[in-house]
Amino acid sequence: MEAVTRASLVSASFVRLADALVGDYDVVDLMHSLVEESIRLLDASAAGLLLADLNGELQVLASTSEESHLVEVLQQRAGAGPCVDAYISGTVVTISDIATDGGHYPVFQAAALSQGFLSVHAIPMRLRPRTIGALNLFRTTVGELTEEDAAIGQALADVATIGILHERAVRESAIVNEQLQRALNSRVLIEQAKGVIAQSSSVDMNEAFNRLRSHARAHHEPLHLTAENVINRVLAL
Amino acid sequence: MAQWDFSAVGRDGKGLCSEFVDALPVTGAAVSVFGASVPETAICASDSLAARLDELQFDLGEGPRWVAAKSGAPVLVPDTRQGAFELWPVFATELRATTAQALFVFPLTIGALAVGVVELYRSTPGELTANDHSIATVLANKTAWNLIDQLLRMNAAAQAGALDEHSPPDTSPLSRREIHQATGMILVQANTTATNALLLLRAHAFSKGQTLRDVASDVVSRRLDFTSHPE
Repeated sequence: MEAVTRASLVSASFVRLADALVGDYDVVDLMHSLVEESIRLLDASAAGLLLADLNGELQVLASTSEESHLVEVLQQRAGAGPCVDAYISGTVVTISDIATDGGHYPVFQAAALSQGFLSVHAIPMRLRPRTIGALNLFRTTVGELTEEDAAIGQALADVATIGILHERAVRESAIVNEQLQRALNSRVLIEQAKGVIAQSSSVDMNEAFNRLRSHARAHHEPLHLTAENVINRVLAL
Repeated sequence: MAQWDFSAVGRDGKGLCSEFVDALPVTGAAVSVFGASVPETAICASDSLAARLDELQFDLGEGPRWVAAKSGAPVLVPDTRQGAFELWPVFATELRATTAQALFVFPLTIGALAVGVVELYRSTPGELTANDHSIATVLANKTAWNLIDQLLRMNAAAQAGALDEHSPPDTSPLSRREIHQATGMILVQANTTATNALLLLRAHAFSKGQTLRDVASDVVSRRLDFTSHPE
């Protein structure tokens, strides 16, 4: 019985994501849906999706919380965390018990434990020879992901790659770079818009993001356009 | 108004322009920034015509440079000898007197930050291919990030005219995120544009001898406010 429920949950998630991939979608918005689906499906308590910028530095494109402490856990420099190592190696990096096995990433270890994260699973987002980023799942329990969960996680990371790089783009590396940058720029615009909302409506960054996203959803407009209107003060949220 | 100060960027500015010329089927390139005083506005030019085309538009106050700056979108002129160019009639006449037969202007932007433009010219007419367009967009983006990065890394010591070579480059993406959020907050507080808001942030960091990242964090946590006319 449980298996049936699980399978239907998984397929419903992927149908929702596939549905969002049709037509003129907003990349950051889609990636937020994806990290949300990933914690729902994989029994994780937080997730974040990182994309490499032109300098090969990872930037958070979407995370299940806009709070800066999650961003901090996610964003470590080369060699300093599982997310960046998954990206650099192009392979899955799992730490099933951060408290005992995370010692070689001391800064990451402390940051993760302070948030109550006990295990992490970092999945590279691969595009043939290169890796464009990583999907990271944090859990408040120790242990490995089951084989099935790992496969679902990889499928989610693949959907993310497809969502960021439109199919036609994949053939030309210049266009791949352009799509990556567009996604990261869109994130900058959203951060700026969050600041505008936080200031003009006296709310925190999380609430600012929620307002931005709710408005985009309700008006069927891409998130980056809503953000642009907020920054240009055409729209108050 | 606060201004960009790219005096320290100019040192290796030439490389910035040659990247465009190397990667694209164009004859010359010039990168210039907004808001700077006239001598600092040109970051680089790969040859004298590229420099002259930028300068001309600056002097005339019209041209595709300004159209791209205003719209935030590229302005593509595949054939300078054809068409009316109603938005910049004087510059069009001057342009036709040169050997430039195609001109492509790409804005340098990061989110809502307008940094400047890159102007590419070619001595033969013709469109950019889709792939070239992508390459130009990517390079323009990279240039914008580089310029902002250099701007953000100049700390208080830069005020004395030198980059502090000893301080580690402030490359933490987290700090960037807070800088962008602070930019959004300041643009409301000071009722200005995103670009000016960032300049205010930077000016404050300079005057207090703080890092940009610390000032941004003060703004986001509401310990610092740039409201221009308190009640």
